[in-house]
Amino acid sequence: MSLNTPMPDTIDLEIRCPIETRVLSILRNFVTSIAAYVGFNAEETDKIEMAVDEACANVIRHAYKHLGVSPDLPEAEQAEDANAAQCTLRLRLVLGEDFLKIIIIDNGIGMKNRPPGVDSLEEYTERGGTGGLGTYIIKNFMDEVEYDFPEESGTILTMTKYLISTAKSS
Amino acid sequence: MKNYDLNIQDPQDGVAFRKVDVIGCLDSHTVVGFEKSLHSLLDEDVTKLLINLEQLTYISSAGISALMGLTHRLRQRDGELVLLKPTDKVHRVFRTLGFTNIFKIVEDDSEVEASFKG
Repeated sequence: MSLNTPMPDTIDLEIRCPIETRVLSILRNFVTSIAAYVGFNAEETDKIEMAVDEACANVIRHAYKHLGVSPDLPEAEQAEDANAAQCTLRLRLVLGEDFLKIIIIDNGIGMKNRPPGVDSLEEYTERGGTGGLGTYIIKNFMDEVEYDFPEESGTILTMTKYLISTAKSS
Repeated sequence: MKNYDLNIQDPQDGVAFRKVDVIGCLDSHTVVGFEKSLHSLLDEDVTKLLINLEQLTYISSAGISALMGLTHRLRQRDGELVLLKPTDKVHRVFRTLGFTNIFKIVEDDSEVEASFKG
């Protein structure tokens, strides 16, 4: 699907967020209300909430680190104005009758160049439990996950959850 | 907009562990303060730590990694971390991801003392 192709019988919403971790709780509240509107039960809504939180936290922490925009950087290395660095995080939600598609778009350093995620809990513990769990959560909590890397820059993450779930984990 | 708080209980006579209540959410935003407070507590030579999760409304991978970090640090000094009464939502996350096999979790205050001895 092209990013700009409208889908019939759907509601298409998009919000643009600052690159700050304090927005994460706002995004979670927004997404959980949308998931409940589509008809997901509490357990599936929790999974959608967590997948979105992990994906957005990944962008906020890693996508613009090379420009001095990341909560992980020491204060002395932080850019003075994140907006001046033209850093964006867009969260697009496509509500269908039996699905919710979530598209997270940034124009930072591509996922390919960020710290790699883990493929299993064993790998996570072997690494000392310090990171990489977020991408594992996204992969296991959503039904379809796809990463696209536009030529110019950034990452487009598309995650879909169906009302009759085909998720891998229970 | 406050959605996180931490209550570090004072040491009590005859109680071998320190108890900490986490209130609200543990995500990439709030975990920074959580880690700072808890590692300061461990600097006081605390070896047995009970973290009460009955008011924790949300935990992300950053929060889980913080708990893993505390677990490792306490084990290095023959100490232990015990998690008390996680909410249904948080327990479901632990169970789904397999962390119920990694963290020591107790569901009742009466089990706490014995869980540290074990």
